[in-house]
Amino acid sequence: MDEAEKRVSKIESMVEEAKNRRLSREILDVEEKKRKLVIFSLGDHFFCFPGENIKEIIPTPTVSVVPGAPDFIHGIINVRGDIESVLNLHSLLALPEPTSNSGGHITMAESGGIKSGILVDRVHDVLDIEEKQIAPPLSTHGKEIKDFAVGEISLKNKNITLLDLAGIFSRILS
Amino acid sequence: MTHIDSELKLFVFQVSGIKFGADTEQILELIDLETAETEGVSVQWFHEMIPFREKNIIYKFPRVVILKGNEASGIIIDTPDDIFPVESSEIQPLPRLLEATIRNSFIRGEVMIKDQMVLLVDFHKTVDCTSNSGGKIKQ
Repeated sequence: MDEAEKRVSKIESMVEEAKNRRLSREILDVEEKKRKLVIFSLGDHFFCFPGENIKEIIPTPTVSVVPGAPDFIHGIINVRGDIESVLNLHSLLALPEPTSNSGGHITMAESGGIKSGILVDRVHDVLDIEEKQIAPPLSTHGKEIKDFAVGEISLKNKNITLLDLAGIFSRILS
Repeated sequence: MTHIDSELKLFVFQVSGIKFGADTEQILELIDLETAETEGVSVQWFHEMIPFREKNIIYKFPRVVILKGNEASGIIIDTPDDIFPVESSEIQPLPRLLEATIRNSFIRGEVMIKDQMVLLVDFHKTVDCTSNSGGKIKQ
């Protein structure tokens, strides 16, 4: 093997090695693909929304009630000059309304160009979860939750239901 | 070409703690209940036309709004506040999810006045409602 051939071979082998490194990185990336989730509670139930749907979390401001609004719309709020609706997930998911007036938080959510606040009892965490940790939704959920549940995560002995925000918005708009 | 004035004069009142605003151009006058009764004006309670969540609505300072072109009937509102000029740029439509689901067509949008949310009511859309009673006046 002459010098030129040797050089090409070495380059080729190095390129090949680099390709393999890249491939293994991609495989690793796929294996460790993570999703950011915003975990919150409504009474005793834990839920989460994909992080990309949640723009901010704000302490409950003054919510103005709008006569004629359905029960699942808690009211409207002023967020830095923009008026946004506030959804009451307790009503939408047929969960008991909170007995104590703990205040709660409003998560400002957006999907498909639609924005709305969502009233939750408490925001617990914002976590990066591996895709593989998300299991199919439990079959034991009630119909209302089942309609919007797209996954289930088990974390610290708690079941957390992943909700489909786009599905919620589109159901309301339809 | 129709010219749309960019300013609205908003008559603000309150029912059950919620502030509402109506275009003064739709209003002829504001009278008290006794006058309305004396003049034989048929009245409708505001809360019966716009479905409130509460069942019992207490009126503290009721007044009757007489609309232009409909002097024989009036709408009982509560706690009249003041007239505020509002620029059209300050008015916001209802949020999309609310607009799609609200069960009345009277509330058209909202505006912030003195850091308080005021719901914009179109009185013209309320006049077709049938007369009802049922509100209580605080003694």
